[in-house]
Parts: sequence; C-alpha cells; structure tokens
Amino acid sequence: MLKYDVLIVGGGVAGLRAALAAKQAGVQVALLSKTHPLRSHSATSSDGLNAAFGKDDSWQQHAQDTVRAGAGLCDHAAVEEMCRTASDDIIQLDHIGVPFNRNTEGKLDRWALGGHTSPRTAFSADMTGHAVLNTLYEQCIREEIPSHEEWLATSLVVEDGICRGVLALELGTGKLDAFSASAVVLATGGAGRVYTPSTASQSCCGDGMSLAYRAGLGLRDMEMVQYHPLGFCERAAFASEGALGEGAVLCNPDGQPILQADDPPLRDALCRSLASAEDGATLDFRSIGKERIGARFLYLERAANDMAGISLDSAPLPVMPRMHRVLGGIQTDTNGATAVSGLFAAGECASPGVHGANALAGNALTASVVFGRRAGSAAAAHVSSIDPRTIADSALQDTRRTLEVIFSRPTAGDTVVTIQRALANTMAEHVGLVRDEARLQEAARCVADLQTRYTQVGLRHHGKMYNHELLTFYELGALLDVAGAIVTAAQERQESRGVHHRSDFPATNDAEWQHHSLVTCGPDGPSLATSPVVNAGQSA
Amino acid sequence: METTFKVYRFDPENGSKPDFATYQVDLPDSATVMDGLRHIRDEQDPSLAFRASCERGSCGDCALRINKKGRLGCSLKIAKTVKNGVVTVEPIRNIPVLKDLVYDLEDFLWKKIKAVQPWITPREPEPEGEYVVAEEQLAEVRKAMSCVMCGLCDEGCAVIKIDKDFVGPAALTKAYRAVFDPRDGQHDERLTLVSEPGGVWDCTHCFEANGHCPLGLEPTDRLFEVRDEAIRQGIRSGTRNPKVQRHYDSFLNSVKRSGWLDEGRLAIESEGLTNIAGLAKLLPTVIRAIPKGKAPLPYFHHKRPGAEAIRRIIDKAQRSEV
Repeated sequence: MLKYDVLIVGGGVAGLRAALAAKQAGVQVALLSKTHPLRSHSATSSDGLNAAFGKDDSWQQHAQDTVRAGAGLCDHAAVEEMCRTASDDIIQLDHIGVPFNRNTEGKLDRWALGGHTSPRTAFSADMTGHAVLNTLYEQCIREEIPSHEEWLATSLVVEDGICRGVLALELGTGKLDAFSASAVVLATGGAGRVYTPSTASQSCCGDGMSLAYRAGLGLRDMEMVQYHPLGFCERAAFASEGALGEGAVLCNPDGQPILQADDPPLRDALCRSLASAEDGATLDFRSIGKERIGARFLYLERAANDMAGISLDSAPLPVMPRMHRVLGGIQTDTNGATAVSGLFAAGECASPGVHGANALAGNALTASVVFGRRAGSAAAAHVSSIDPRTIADSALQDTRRTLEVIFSRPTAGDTVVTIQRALANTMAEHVGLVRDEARLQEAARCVADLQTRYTQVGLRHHGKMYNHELLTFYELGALLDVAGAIVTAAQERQESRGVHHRSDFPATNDAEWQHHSLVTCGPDGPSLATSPVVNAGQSA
Repeated sequence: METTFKVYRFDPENGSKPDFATYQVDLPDSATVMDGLRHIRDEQDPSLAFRASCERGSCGDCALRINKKGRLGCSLKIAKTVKNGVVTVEPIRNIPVLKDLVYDLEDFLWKKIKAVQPWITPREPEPEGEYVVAEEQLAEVRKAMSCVMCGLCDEGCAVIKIDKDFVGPAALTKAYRAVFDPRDGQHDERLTLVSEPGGVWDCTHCFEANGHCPLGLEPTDRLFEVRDEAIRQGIRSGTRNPKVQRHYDSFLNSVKRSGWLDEGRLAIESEGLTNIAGLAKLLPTVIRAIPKGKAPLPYFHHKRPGAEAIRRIIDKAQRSEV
C-alpha cells in the first residue's frame, strides 16, 4: 500500500512532463507505468513539435491552421492555450537538452508539414518523440521521482465522486496493490491496437480511456481515427511526414509524383487517395542525398534497411496508409481536469479538444507536452484542496475475486488472443478510412458478440510472473470498451468530417452535426450523447 | 517458411531448472524473430514470457541473444538469421533472468544510466530563446541520444562480464550525450564523475561494444572521446583512482623507453610496487599464462627498432598538448 500526493499513470511524454510539473509545484509525485518509461510509444513519434517562432508566423496563425484541420470540432480555448504556450515549452525542452536540429544561424530549424501555412515544426531528426522522452526521463531521474514500472492500473478508486487512487497489478509478480493519491493523472497513451495493422506499440490498448469510461466519464470524438500515409513494411513502422517537408517525393508505381510541389495535403485526404491507388505508392528520397538522409532521418535510414531491405539513397520505399491513432479520448478541460474530482488526463488518452476531427502533423506530441505540463500543475494544485484518504485494503477484494473467477473459467476453445485478433480485424475491415451504415452495423454486431465471448473466456496459463495472457485479458477489456465507443460514435455521425468519412453521407452537415460525440458506459453498453463545440462559430 | 525455434525457458514459479524448449513455426518469409516468439506464445504456449513494445526498432525492449548474437528481435527477419532451419533465442548474457526471456535491467543498466547523471543543467547565462548552437555541435549529440537503451553493448562488454561495477558503454554513451552538449552547465563535474573508478578508465579497449550496437552508434569510440575530453580539461583520475594513473604513466614510459609496450612491467607498475596484495593477485594469471607461451621465461623486454623516432613523436605530441 503506497501513498502519494499525485500519482501519474503512464510514463510516456505526457506522463513524464506531468510528473516534472507536479514535482516542481512541490508535491510528492510518483509514476506508475505498464512498461519502463523509455519503452513508451512516445519513442516512435517522428514529426516534431509545433509552435510559431519568428516574425513571419504567429500563434494565432498556428491556431487557425489547427482549427481548419479540425473541421469544426476544435475547442478554441484548448487550441489557443496550446498554440500560445507551445513556443515556451519547446524553448524549455531545448534548455534541458532536446537536440533540436539547427538552421545555418544556429537557431531551431523547422519543417514545413502538411496543413501548416508556415514552417513551424521543430524536430530532432525523425526521432523527436524519442529525444523528448529521453530528455524528460533524464530530468525525472534527476528529480528522483519514484517510478513503479511494469505495473498495470486495473481500476480507479472513486468514492463519492472523488478519485482516491488506483488499484494495480505488478506484472512481474502478479501482486495486487492499492496506490492512494490525492490526485491521479491518466497519461496511458493511445488505443491504436484496436486496429490491425496499425502503427501502435504493443502497449497502446486504451487502458486509461477504459479506466475513465468505467468510472462513468465520457469518451469524446472517438469516431475520429487517424491513418498515417507513410506506413511501410508489414508491421508498425512508418516514415516521418517530415520526409515530405524535406523533399522526398511521393510517387505512383510509374515513378510519377502524386503531390503538387509545396502543398502537402492533410493526412486524411492523402490517406484516402493512397488507399484507392491500386498499385500502391513509393516514397523517393534519392534527390535528398545520402548525407542529408543520414543527418535528418536517423531512424528511417536504419529501419528501412533492417525491416524493408531498402537503402533510401538508392531505391524508393514502398509506403501505404496505416491506422495511426484515435484522436478522441477522455474529455478534459484545458487543465486536464475531468468530471471526477482529483482525476486528470493528458496525452493521447485525453481529449482536451485541440484535434477536433483531424490532427495536424506534430500537434499530437505538442499537445502531450503542453497539456501534460498543465495536468501535472493542476493535479498538484488540487492536492491542498483534498483531505487525503488511504484506500482500504478491502478495495482489493473485488479485483482478487475477479481474478479468481477468470482463473476458474474453462479454457476450451476461445482465447483472449483469438478475441483480440478478431476485434482488430473487424475494426480494420469495417471501421476504416471509408465507412458506411452496413459496415458499421456489422462492426457493432461483431463487437457486441466479442464482448459476450470476452465475459466467458478463460486463461490457459495460471502463472503469476509475467503472465502475458492475464495482461492481454485486461488490455482486451479496454480495447473492447474503446471499440464500442468508436463504432457507436461512427454510426451516429451521419456525415463526413475530417478523418471520419462515410460513403453513404459524403457531405459535411454543420447544421446537424457540428458537435462533439460523447460516449458513456450505459447499462446496456455504450451510450451516445453530444456536447457543444466551444466557440464553434469562429471556425474557419 | 518452416523454422525450428529453440527457446530458453526458465520459470522460478515451478522450480524447474533452465532449459531449452523446441517449437515448430511456419511463418511468411517477411516474419521477424519477434513474430516467431509471438506466434509461439499465442498459438502454442501461453506461458512463454518475453518483452516487446514498439515493433519497429525504436524502443530497445526486445534485445535478445539470437543464434548466439545480441539483436533486436523486432528488426531481425527469421530468414536472415536462421541456420540449418533453426533459430535459437536466449536472454542476453551476464544479467539475472527473471523468467524465460525476461531479464532484470535494474542493476545492469538503469542504475548505471542514473550513475552518470546524464541530465542537462542549462549553461549560464540561460538565453531567453533557444541556445544558438552550430548544427555540427549537436549532430553527434543527437546521434548518441538516438540510443534505444537496449543494453546490447553492455552485454558484449568484456569488462562487465567480470566487473559488475563498470558502468559500461551504454551509460558512457549517455554520458557522451551530456559531455558534448554545448548547452550543459556541468561539463567538468560530469567529466570528473565519469573519471572515477568504474568509469571511462575501466574500459579495456576490446571494441566489443561497437560490434554489438545494433544501431551502429560506436559506443567504444564515444567512451574514448569522453576520456580524451577529460584529459583535455586536465581531469585525470590520479587522485581518485591512483591505479589508473599508474597504468597510464607506466604505459607511456614503456613506449617512450623501448618503443613498445612492456606488458609484464605494466601489470606490476599498475598494481604498484609496494602493493603486495595487488601483486599477489597477478600470480594466478602468470601461472596460467606460462604453459600457454604468453609469459616467456626468462622475461626480457628489448627495445624495438625505431624506438628513438617513437620517443621523438611522443615528445612532440606532448609539447603540442601543452
């Protein structure tokens, strides 16, 4: 039984940033994460961080671009907060050691990415997420922030509408324990593994979204699922969109450029056009030259070689769109606060409202840094308003009983792996880049069916130490919650907007649909409500 | 492609001894070793434990010993490593195994990363905007920082195998990142820290780390550069680690005197002529070396041809250093 002022669940960029902010506010803070922080999915983020610098750009222009991409579903207060303060966050990251690329004047170099009217993406080769993650980790070890690694949070403890901490399972030993805290920040990352194939790491199972959902909170804009245009190989690999900003050419199989120069389109349009191109596409780096490739594509140069057997300076890389991330998440305000007192969320699991119906390249990592900081500070400020309470040991009884039930179920036939695979295939097939009512109905039926199978599935392995089947059991539960929310919201939104494209409703319908979807956990499954977009009238 | 996977198994829960289990796997030619392990766990044996995260060579979680070589399982195709139809998978070496292919990195890597205090303290005066720095100054820092902390260089390190206190090439590559970052304000303090016992001077120049790094980051060379920088800054470990200073002096004096290295004298002078316990520790090595012809008796170290020229080169180098 451990007790902290603030507990951060998740050790990626948002979680580490939140932990540092809370520590600097003078409270006792600890991390709890499913993997070691440096194994987090943030390490794969490759585009960079967005902020307006210099006299030719302004944060207002960045905000306008963000809102335009978001197709009418951005909350302007959140967008403005991010765009106004992101430059300070980036400068601070520079001061603590993120090795951002420099221009000839020795100042931050910037990429021009699709949908941005100015080059405003600061980058550290094509490994910005990795560099930010490592830099924040260095500062966390300097601050001696306690870190509980390979612990899975299995449920939130909420009493009378106040979050008191989490219950968690230690993966290495199978031990259950309660972590009491006056404030909890969920920074558990995304839910990309609800699809296959996807660019997501093994850990991206929507854990935090599901914890919040089961605690009665709403998941917002979950139908907005973004694909990445530059996936390669058969697994999670993808090239940074910085490649296009750097001059790599996207070509059809005849070697003809697909894009007009200087005007890279938004990801959703690009993905749909690539997906409909039967013979696929290639990304050609040959005009960039070996030296520049080596300096700016540290990851891709190696990965293309290791995973695709291609040397970027001598042959084009075959690419294809691949499911990238769920843009929606736990509804929060601009401080990361949720409707449950003492519960905050930031990073990919959260929806503060900056992405709307489509995210600009680089805005996701930027949001993780800005809102991670804000959530950490707000959680620390919340501590003094709370009379701390220790979670009673009896709170673990329910989880212990659940485990007993799971382990006592018969193990013939279904396994958690077959259910998870069926779920991810269903989502890819029926809730992909282009959707329609018939497919979404089929998806809803499949997800409900898999949910039923899930309530009966047993585990073949009963060991306590590193029982991956037990971990998958919990992750699958979260993925089913997320899938249910995505399908419900996608079915209800009978229009096309941003990344949500319906062939049966190809037009955008502002009169009826310019509002957020909000899915909550009802007695009979996912239940959909809507919530207004803040300052929607100003959207471009 | 049909492949036989021989996989290291160890489960402390059932009290059995470590052993290899064999699995038949039939996967497409594009499959990686990680795909093979996942297939085994999902389809054949759910008790198999291993770590894996990003599946794209970004996170370092799946470092394993595959067909006797340290590799990242997600970035290695079965077709590239298979030998006579067999892929053997083990945990990396010189590290406590927790279960099957899951090992304990805490003392092996994470504590050593912390020990070099790799965080940046902004150099004064801290500018209002970003630090104005030449790209050339940051390019190598960025490359060193692209290290995914897989631990494979430490696994290959010849020193860690016998001396767990050596912080090792991974932590010293991390130190390089801080030492050569022009924005850091604790340059000399860190150099002093990594010059202590267990730091840069404990490397024996075997270059194994370079060969084991799956990213080609050349950890050995980076360690040498940190050491060179410590020398340039006048930070010698003499006061803190007299043995290293004696080793350094003996090495240099030997080459100046005879044009090459007097290994017998180096061993004795490094321990210290009055250090009886240290000298006694050398005896078993000498006894083992004699029958293998590695310590010819009677021992006589002669001057090599051109020794005078070598001495002049050293003198010139020393004058230019001053």
